[in-house]
Amino acid sequence: MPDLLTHVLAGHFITRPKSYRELYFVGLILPDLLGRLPMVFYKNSYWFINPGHTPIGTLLGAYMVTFLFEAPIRKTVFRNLLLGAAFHLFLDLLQRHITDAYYWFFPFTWRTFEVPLFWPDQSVDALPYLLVAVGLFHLLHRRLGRGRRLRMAQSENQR
Amino acid sequence: MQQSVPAFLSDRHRWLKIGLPAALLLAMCIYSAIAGPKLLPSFADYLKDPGRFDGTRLIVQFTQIKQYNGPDRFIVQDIRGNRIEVEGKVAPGQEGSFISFDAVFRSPGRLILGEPWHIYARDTLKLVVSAVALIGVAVFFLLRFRFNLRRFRFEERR
Repeated sequence: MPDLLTHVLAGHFITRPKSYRELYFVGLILPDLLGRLPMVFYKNSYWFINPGHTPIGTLLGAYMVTFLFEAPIRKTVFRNLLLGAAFHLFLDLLQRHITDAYYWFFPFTWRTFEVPLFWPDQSVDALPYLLVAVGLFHLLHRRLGRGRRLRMAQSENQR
Repeated sequence: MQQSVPAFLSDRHRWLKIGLPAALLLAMCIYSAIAGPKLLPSFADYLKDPGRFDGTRLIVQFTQIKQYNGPDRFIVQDIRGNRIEVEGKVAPGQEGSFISFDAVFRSPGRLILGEPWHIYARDTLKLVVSAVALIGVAVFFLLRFRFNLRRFRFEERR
């Protein structure tokens, strides 16, 4: 897996939901929270926790997490979690492995595939560039937003 | 933001809606724990009966380079602490780094390094930046939500 910071930073460029954006960012790290984090504390748990890093495992995990929120916002929470998790898994799909890639269709089959663009450890090399890109993205976003607000205020004044 | 609640996300049978996927996920975990190791046997499985597996090809994943025994021999250790000597040349000075490689098992307990192999550099740095991201997301989330233990759910901060 690429490191979590790469996942979070890269997630900026795809979409940033307007409401409950925090849950989108939780979704961006959700597959690793479910299927990798326990390994930091207990390395032998790899096969046991592995389903947490599959699409179906992540879907079940996101569904359960959604019930930890108030009913009226659950639809948005669930959507944002899934959106983030889907992008996380997409980024993982682009990794190169010597062993099997991630088990995308588990528990139906162990067959797997990948689009081998980079090694898992190479994501760290891209971090400085990603940080700069995210900074520029936010700067542009803010500038454009300010310009749009100014134009709207001017047109309202003209009316 | 108020919105209509779809039936599958409503509070009706809330504990069943949590319990059922939890049971399903647990079943998947148990199945993976039983079937997974058979899919990718480790050298530790081969060491139990070395004669039977002599000459067998295997993929060794995420083992740590512990020490070099000369220019073309090194010792790796898997996550369970099992060690084995590997015959083959990799970049020197990589003690502590993780390596995955294709290998051939030789009795009584030796691996011949094959192609491809890859050393995962900067593993500690990766862990550190991941921890930074984890803390960042947690703070971003907790600035907006707090956990109500009595109702067992997150609530928006007022």
